[in-house]
Amino acid sequence: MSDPYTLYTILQAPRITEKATVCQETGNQLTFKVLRTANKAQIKAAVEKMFDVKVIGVQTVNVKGKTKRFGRTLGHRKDWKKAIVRLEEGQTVDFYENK
Amino acid sequence: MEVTIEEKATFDREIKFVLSAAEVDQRMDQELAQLATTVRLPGFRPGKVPRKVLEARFKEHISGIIADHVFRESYHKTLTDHELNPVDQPKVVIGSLERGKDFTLCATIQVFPKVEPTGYTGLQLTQAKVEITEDDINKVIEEIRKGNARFEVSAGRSAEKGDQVVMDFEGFVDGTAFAGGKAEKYVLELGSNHFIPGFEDQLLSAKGGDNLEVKVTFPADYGNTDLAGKEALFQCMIHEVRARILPELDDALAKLAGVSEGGVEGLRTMVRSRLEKDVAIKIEKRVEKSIYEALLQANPFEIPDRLEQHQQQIMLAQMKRDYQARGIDVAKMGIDDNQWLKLFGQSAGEQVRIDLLLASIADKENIQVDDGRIDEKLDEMTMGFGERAAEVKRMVRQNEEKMESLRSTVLQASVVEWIIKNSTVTQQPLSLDALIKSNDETGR
Repeated sequence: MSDPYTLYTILQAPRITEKATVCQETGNQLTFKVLRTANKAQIKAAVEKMFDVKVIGVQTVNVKGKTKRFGRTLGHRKDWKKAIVRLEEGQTVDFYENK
Repeated sequence: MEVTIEEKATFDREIKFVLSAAEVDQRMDQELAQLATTVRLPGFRPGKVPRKVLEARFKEHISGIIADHVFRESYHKTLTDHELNPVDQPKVVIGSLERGKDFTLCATIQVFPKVEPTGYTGLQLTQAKVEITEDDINKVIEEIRKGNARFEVSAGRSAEKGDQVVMDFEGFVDGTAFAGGKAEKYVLELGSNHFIPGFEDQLLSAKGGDNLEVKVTFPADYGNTDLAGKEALFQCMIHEVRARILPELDDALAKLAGVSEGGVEGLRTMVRSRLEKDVAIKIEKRVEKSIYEALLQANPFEIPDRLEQHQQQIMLAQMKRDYQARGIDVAKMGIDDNQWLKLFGQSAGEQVRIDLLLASIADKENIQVDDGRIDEKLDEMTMGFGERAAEVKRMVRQNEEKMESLRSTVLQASVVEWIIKNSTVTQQPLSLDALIKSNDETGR
């Protein structure tokens, strides 16, 4: 699981939210939306490879998609996995760089 | 903020607005604070977006806003403080905006030249004085007759000048046919000079059914450079010769020419009054022209190239409109804009100089435009609109730009009048023909 193609499919998007910002500021943690089947080891490898940093811990959450009603029909948003990755002290990642 | 003005060339000025690093930070904070209260981003509650995120996301936006503010605050003030008079909108280059660094905004402008008009009084002007003779009127009437001529096929007639010849022809250069050199059942009026010089002469005395070979040489300045200066052979098959029959000069012809009452005598008066009007305008143009020439000669000064380019664009647009009005598609003429501009040559620059000179003279001699004359001019302009004149007038009056150009036209006319008043004018008798000819040569 270390070829670059798979790495990019594991990390799907950074989450830039109030909560994620707080995590980044207080605990040097990055938050991502990741592939639902990815495990912590893979996520760690992906982040280390992509941002050239050292990861000390990964926490994951399976987030249930919301049920949405449109008129009489019931719909369901996709479930997804959130990963919160702690970096080694002193290392940073700026999602806005090179954009 | 620091403002520096640099003279790049005679008319080019570069104005630099520099914000120091501290000012940049302060302004950015201010803008961010403003943004923070209004912006909504997914993932954040309104008003809770952190500075850092805002700054990263809206950098360009903020840089634009700050540049805009800087420009608004300082540009016009700088112009008035330093008495700069730009010819058009400045070209603005915005530097990059970053915390802890200076921010520069660079505006390049061209300024109007300072014009000190001289030699505009005591000019020696000659004004043409034209008597319209009976001969001149006869000539016009002859043209009217020709314009209303009928053409009748007459068998066995040998073609004369003025006749129409219906023919097929095909042209060859060096033995091979060339593009555009072939036509069938083409109607050519002899003496109309529509064809290459010499072609029509060789068709004189041709008869219906004749097969002719016409040898001509394309003129050296012919439009198609492949053919210019070459000898060509045209094989012509004459179908028929149509004799031109001029209508009698009678009341019916007068009616055709648009004179419903008074018959032939009415036609003559109409022609005379029209000629007189034309002549008056032409004479005026001639005097104007000589004034302009004298002014240009007495006042050599350079003008900013942006002004000249602007004038060229105006002339280009004007010329295209003229062609359009005549039903010619300029795009299909195969001449690109640059070639047109070359054709204009000096005239754009001269026009700009004349405009500047007239304006400066008006300024110096305190020549004012009075509203009455603007009204007159407006009446004159809208005369052609008939019943809708009032409406058009109202539209023009509401249009600031149109009124401004109208005012400047009237002002220029007043200045020209003033110059004439302060010059010695000698009358020079001239025949109508000579007037028309000289106008064609010098006409603008």
